[in-house]
Amino acid sequence: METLGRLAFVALTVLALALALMQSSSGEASLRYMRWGTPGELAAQRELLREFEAAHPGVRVRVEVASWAEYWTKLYGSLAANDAPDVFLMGGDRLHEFLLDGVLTDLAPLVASSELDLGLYYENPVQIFQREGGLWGLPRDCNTVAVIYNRTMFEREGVPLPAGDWTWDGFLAAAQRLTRDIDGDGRTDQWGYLTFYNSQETRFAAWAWNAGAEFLGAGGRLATVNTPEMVRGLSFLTDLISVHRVAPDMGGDAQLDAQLFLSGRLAMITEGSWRLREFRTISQFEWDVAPMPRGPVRQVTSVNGLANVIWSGSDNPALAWELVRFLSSEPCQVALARGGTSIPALRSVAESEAFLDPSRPPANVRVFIDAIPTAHALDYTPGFHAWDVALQAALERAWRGQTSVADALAAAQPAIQRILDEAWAEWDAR
Amino acid sequence: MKTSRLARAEMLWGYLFTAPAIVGLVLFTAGPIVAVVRYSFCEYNMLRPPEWTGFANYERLWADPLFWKALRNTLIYVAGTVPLGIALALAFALLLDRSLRGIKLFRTIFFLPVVSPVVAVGLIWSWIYQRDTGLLNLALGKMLGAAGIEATLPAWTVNEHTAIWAVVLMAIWKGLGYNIVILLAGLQEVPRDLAEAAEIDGAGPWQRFRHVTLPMLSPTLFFVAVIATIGGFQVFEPAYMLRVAEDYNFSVHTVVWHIYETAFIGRSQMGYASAMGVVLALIIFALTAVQLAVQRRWVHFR
Amino acid sequence: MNPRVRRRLSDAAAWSVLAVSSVAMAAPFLWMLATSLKTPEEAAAVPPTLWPREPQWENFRVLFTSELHAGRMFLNSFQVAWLATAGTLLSCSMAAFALARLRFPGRNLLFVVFLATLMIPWQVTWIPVYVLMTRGLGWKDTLLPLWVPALFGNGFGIFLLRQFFLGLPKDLENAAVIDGCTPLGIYWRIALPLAKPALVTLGVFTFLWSWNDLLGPLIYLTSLEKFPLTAGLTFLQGQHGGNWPLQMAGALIATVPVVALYLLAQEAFVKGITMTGLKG
Repeated sequence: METLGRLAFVALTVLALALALMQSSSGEASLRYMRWGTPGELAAQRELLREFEAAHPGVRVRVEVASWAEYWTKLYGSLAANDAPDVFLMGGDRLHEFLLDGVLTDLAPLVASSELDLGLYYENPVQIFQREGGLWGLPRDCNTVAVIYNRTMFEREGVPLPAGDWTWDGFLAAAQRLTRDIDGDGRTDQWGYLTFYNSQETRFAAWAWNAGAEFLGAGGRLATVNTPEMVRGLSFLTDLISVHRVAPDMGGDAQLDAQLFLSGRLAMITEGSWRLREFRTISQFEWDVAPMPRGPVRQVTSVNGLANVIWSGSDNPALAWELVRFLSSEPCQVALARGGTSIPALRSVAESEAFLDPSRPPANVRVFIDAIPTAHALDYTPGFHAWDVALQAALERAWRGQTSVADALAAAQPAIQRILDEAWAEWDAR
Repeated sequence: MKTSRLARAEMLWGYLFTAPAIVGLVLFTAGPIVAVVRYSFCEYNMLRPPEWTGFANYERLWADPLFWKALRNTLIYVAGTVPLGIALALAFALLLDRSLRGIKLFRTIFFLPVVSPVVAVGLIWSWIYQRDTGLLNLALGKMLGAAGIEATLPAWTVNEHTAIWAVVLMAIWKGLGYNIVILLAGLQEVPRDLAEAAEIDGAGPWQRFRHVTLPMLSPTLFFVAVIATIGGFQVFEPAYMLRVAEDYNFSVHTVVWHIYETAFIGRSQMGYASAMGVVLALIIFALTAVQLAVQRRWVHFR
Repeated sequence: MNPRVRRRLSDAAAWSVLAVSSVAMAAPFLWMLATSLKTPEEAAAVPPTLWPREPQWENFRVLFTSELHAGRMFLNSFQVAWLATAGTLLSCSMAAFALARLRFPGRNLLFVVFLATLMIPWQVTWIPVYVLMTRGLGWKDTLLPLWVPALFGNGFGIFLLRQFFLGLPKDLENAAVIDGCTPLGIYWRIALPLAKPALVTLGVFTFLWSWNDLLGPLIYLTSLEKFPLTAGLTFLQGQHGGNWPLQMAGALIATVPVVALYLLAQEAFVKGITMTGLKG
């Protein structure tokens, strides 16, 4: 037994060493592209890049993968090591930060010389990446947020389905009729809506805008969170919890977030078009999409887009540009649309069967696209992350009922202004 | 003459045996630590080269209320997990050291939380702590109900006063098996015949534990205590596991979380993060030095 | 009371305590198993169902046939974890033996330095380490950064083994020296066999940490087919959560080898007990 154990140890070590020697090197690549994604998406990406490689003989593109959780950490590491990928995927939230430190290549001259018509893409994501007369990324997608609802539940409770022109009153009425204590234990177990303070984009910005409020003014230099419109818009949400009791409170079912909807106990939730794939796994009830309800002032939703960018240290920006163009061209955009993780930025594909495929739920998937022309982008400024955190930290107390929305916003206003002043001062001094 | 030759040979062997570790120290550890200490005196965001700013980061740390809050949370975590965690692990290790029926199965089961992936552990504990449907409140409600007490039970991970303790409890559970395995290995060094001799001499279980097992186990216990303290101060994962990500009360914000957020979330401030890392290391070092000094009083070597 | 009866009673009490606690310790594991067999919807049900209505064995098949290549990842994991374990055991036991049993100048300082390396959090050191591994050594997208450093010891292993070597009786060595044994002989023929429980413990931990390491693979590797299993599984998670059952199925598969190794390691614990006759 003793010798057997030793033999096994030695044999396994030899085997492991053999495996180590057999490891192939990843080989030389002419271009490196980093993105996050699921194994399926990444495999599809590599497949699509064969087409690019065939069109550019001698060129090899390496897809460098990262899971979402470690994507930014890894990107920072490679930037610190001066060894970043030629092309990578990013959102507008870090744009100013990267511009301050000269991480990105201006694509505007490349667009001009290759006569690419930016009008082929949705305007919003293009605008996000247009700063100081340059274009710093070519949009990959253009996602909006809408109300996703459990149609089976609406029908079961005899509540009319949300119409395109519904209002806050209609929304509240529906939520009230859908909120119920099904097992009769004195506790609500079926909720009308779920509201949270943890995401401007999906959870509260549109409600504020629809009440006529804006988070920032004066080109993003002025905090305007302490206005009657803002109080009205956000109080509507906190009232859903504490006054109307149609949304779970923070300590209870709200913790489950989207899982509450997936488990069939939530009638309505606001979610982005990037989650279609996930919601399509639902089999125990029917669901559909409706636009954000019309507020006292307007009816808009939020829009956001990711773009592929070129690292300023890339050895071959011309070839990198070819890759960036390819990634936002039809074959890649069709794959993105079919995958159900985004609305493609290329209008022709977004409005084609690839995205609107009637054989898959939701029936009214068009709602996401119809919202684009009027949709409102987040206020990406220098210091965006810091003021976003400050705002959410203040709202948390209101959502938990520890303070009123008005008091929370009054406290947030100077804090946000201070962050903006500092961040813009750094920006202006660059 | 002879002894000095022996001593010289022993010295040579000593350096030879430690050579790989010293090479590793110089190659993989020393450089990065020196770099971190340098960053701590610089403004550095990983995108631009570091710029020397002297003690600015340390002055900022002194005035950063969030750092102090994080340090307070970390201290609660250490005070909560280290003594209780080790005491429980020791108790269970003694039970698991007996030759009982199914002991191998028991030993394996106690190791399961250690090997279970953090995703799974996080999900189930969030469910246990849930306010309305969670296992903990259901059980507590029954108990209080039986005692005739009406009480509103908190959402353990959300409430700013209980959240850190919820993390402590889960961490004890998750780390128990880990300390048990080390202590079990240590218990194998305790000679059975010694305990048996003591039993024949009429020593009771407590006396046998106190005068035979404990002294023999003390080097291992010392190891467990030092490592648990070092690990406790660097606590990072448990808070994350319970998904208290939107923790704007900072009720489970630990020092290493603060470091991570400063370095990697939003605009990177690696220089400031490094300064906090250095201060944390110094705190740990001071405590370890105390432990090393005190060990002479209680750690017993044959 | 009759000592035999007392022993029986105390064994029964110990057994009951262990049995009750085992339920609490094993519950998440069983829950993981149950979830791995559910549909994504059932996994999100509140309150959760205890056992899947219709076990989805499909989840396990998907892992091995999908783009994840769980089979290849499994081999990667084995390679990295095993080499890291073998390397750690050798390098740490050598250093620990010297620190515990040999007298040489700088010994205590060296011990404190090894211990001190554990005190700086990786969150601040990994950037320079990353630069060293990728720019300095050119080890990007290889498994080398994940196991080569193990050949050079680490503070945890050295400290653990040092404590055990310190516990060995002195006279053993003296006898061996009189027999003409060099320190190498004492290390190999006396110290290592006697420290088996500690070596096995360190081996199990090193294997476990290496097997479950997320950060290392995620920062050094850029090709999915090079990933070890546990880190590879994080790709199932995506930006907005993801398929819980599939993740749990993956987690379960990833856990099996570690549990198996631990079961084997227990044999060494039993041996340790019989060996104690040598000592004292």
